[in-house]
Amino acid sequence: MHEQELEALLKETLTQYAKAHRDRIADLEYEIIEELPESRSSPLWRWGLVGAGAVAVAAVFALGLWVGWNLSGAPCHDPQVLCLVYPNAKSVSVASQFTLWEPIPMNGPDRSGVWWIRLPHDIKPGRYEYGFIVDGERWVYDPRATEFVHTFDDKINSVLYIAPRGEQP
Amino acid sequence: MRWLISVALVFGLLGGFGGALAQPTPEDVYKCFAELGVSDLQTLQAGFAKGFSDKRITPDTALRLCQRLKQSSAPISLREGVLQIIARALLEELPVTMLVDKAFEGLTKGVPLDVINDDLLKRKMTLSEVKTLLASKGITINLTIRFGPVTLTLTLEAVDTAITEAAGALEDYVRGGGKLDDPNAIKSAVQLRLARNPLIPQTLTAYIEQVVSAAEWAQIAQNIAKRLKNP
Amino acid sequence: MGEGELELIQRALHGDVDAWGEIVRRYKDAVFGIALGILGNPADAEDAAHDAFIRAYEGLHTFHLEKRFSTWIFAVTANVCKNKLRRERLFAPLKYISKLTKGGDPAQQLAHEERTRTIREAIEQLKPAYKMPLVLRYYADLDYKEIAEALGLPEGTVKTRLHRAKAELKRILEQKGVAYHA
Repeated sequence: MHEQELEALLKETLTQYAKAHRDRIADLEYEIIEELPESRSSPLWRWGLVGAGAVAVAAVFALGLWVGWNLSGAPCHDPQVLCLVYPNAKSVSVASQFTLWEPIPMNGPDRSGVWWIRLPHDIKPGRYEYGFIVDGERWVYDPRATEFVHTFDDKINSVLYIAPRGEQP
Repeated sequence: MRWLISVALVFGLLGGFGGALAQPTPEDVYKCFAELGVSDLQTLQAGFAKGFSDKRITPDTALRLCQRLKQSSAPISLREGVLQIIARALLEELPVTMLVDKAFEGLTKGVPLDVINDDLLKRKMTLSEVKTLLASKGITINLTIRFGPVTLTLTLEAVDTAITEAAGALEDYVRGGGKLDDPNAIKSAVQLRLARNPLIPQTLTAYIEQVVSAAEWAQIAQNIAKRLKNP
Repeated sequence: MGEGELELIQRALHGDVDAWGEIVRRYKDAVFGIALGILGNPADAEDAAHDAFIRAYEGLHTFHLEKRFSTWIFAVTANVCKNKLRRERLFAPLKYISKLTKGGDPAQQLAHEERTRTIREAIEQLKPAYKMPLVLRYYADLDYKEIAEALGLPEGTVKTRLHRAKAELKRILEQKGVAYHA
């Protein structure tokens, strides 16, 4: 057996073996989804079940925590806010046509590693290309955008539309 | 004497404060060009002066671009190249928003200046071809078009924005790998871009849709593709 | 990495488990195949694939978004398998015989099945340090650089281990009576 034949046979053997037992993982994604919320439950809620007084204290404590966490979280639900999840970054800036491509530092990260920035309140209606600069050197497009364009060969810009007041973009 | 000094100080402060609030002037821009060490200041001044007069570019934007170019360590000829391309576009009465924008974008992203220059030259040609095409259909500044019951006098802003958006749509289509043998897809891409810009009256967008054929847009797309293939 | 995939990862980071489910659906075949190649039996491979996706979800915040997701998830899989091998001291008993059937001459089919079984037995006998790069190369089609990244090894080490893996396979196959020519 020559080396090329061995390599081909290796590939075929491994592939066929996996294919033959593929039925074992037919429902894997459903099993994982079912398991995930369980694996993320907070022990704080469990402590809250011990005793009536402890329940009250824990509930108030948990409510305070929830309010605190949510108030300090990035307001990504706001359509006037740009967000990027990048927990490992030391700094994230946005650069866009509406800043003449001058990088503007973003706020964050919040507890989920989200960086965010509110669009300028006086931004004129129109089409704007933009992206994020991570750690001063890495260009990253916004995956939440609905439109993307190629620019300067190997880069991708995200696109956002600002509608005139009172209109949907 | 003390009174005179106080008055002089107050006026001096007021003058300084007022100066800080004042917008850059064309002279500030030309001074920056000169400080950059350009070889052909005359063309730059002629082009940008026309641009300021036609309101296609503001001294503030021009000055910011000049200052960004000053920060670059690239050869003067390449830095001047960016300004010359924009100046010539202004002399040809082309909208330069796309060119200025791409220059700033490239500088921010660290794109080499020779690549920026090349990109701007190609986009300028596209702008020129789109302008010629629309002009051949009667779409030029201050002309009036009639579309159905509507009569529309075309402003500079509306025409320039239409040229810019159509050119941008065609460039993005080709660079994004769009099929060149599908003229209808090319026309759709252009029309969608025009429709989404609120500065272009809907009447003008509808008029362009009627008078410019898919084949005509496709021809410009093919020209763009040829230019991109040949550096 | 496709745009859809980055969107899914972003959503999963925001706690959208359905988005993670879609990632699992897209990668489960590859992850299971790698685990099966390394661990040698389907039950263990199934467990390992399951563990890999749970671990990956919990550690998703450590993934650098601009890198290739496939390399990262394969690295998690390889780690899970390595820990499993270490804990359970599996030495690849070959319990499962492939039940593949192909059309054609039964004698030829038998010879083919025999050959793939022999190869599989030989792979099972390799030590993990050789088996893992071998599986990533010949099952997952990763190049040297990607394997190096997935296993946290220098590229040169990957090349050396692949070379030694094939040399070891050659020795085992010759012992089993299969002639091998370089």
